[in-house]
Amino acid sequence: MQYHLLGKSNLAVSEIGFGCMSLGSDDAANAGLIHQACDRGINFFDTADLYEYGQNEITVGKALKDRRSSVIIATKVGNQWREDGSGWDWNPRKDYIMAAVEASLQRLQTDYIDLYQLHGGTIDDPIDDTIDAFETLQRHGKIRWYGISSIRPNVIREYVKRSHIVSIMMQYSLLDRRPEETVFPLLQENNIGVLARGTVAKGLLVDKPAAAYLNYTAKEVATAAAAVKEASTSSRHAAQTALRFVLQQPAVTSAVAGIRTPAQLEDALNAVNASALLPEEIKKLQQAVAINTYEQHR
Amino acid sequence: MSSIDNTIRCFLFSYRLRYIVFHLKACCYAKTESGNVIVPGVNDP
Repeated sequence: MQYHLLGKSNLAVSEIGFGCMSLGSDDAANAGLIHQACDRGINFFDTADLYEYGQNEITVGKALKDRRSSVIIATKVGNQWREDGSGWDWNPRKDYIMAAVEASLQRLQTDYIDLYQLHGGTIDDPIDDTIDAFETLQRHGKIRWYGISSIRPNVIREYVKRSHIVSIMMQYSLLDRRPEETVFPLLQENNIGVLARGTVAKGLLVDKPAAAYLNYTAKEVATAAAAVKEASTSSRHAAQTALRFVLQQPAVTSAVAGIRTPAQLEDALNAVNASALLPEEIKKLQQAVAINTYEQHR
Repeated sequence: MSSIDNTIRCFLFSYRLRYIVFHLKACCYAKTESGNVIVPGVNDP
């Protein structure tokens, strides 16, 4: 397993991260899977306060409490559960973030969060107020570093300009190369890490029947999946090829794979050991379908 | 019914269909990316 510094931070994150969102409700099974991941070199675990209404943070916290110093815990904030229980509201205001962090710390059974991420964001948010919350929490030692989970270029640009974010979590795969146009160059220029999610495009690049995805038709998705299959070998399966495509993008620090089963963990880990894609193989994959770009929030 | 009426009806129907498909797609997408919640900036369609 290789480790890379996350942007300007001192967090050395494993190139494969453990996306905890899909974990089930069995704490013992989750702990078994998480411990296995740790033992195999994964040190980055990503959760959020809204996953299963906080239960996801609880199960991750239970699993990692005895290994706290050797792992990097990332969680997210910005979605507030309504008091009447009818749903979530977007809330990036400082007073809410300052209160929400305490609840996350309690659920995670820790006194600091390594990476605290704003879970979304719009250009109409009170961005300076939000940044002030993260800066204050960092000064108080509640969080070590902060970032944002967003795919909106206009929002990302504002945080790059106004804050000290060290990472952006965003979707990236052969079927979603939208960040390549302007976001990746901006982040590389400013030494901000990318935590890539959605690396197998909901399984469409691997084993799911072709279906329309983003701006691509089902036929184009099938073409992309066929290109991945063609670039794969007996020692580098399709999932690993798709993951390697993401890992070999210079802007990407870590690919965060959603893991729920031992087989999925094995798949993700095998991508690390799989042979690297050759430049001509990457080019062929890139040429399989026309590159897409963001249409909204540019 | 005039052909103009038919054209307008056809246009409105296709617009409504696209609107429904757009929201259905947004819904499905959200289910895999943020635990059934549509988060602005995370799971935009």
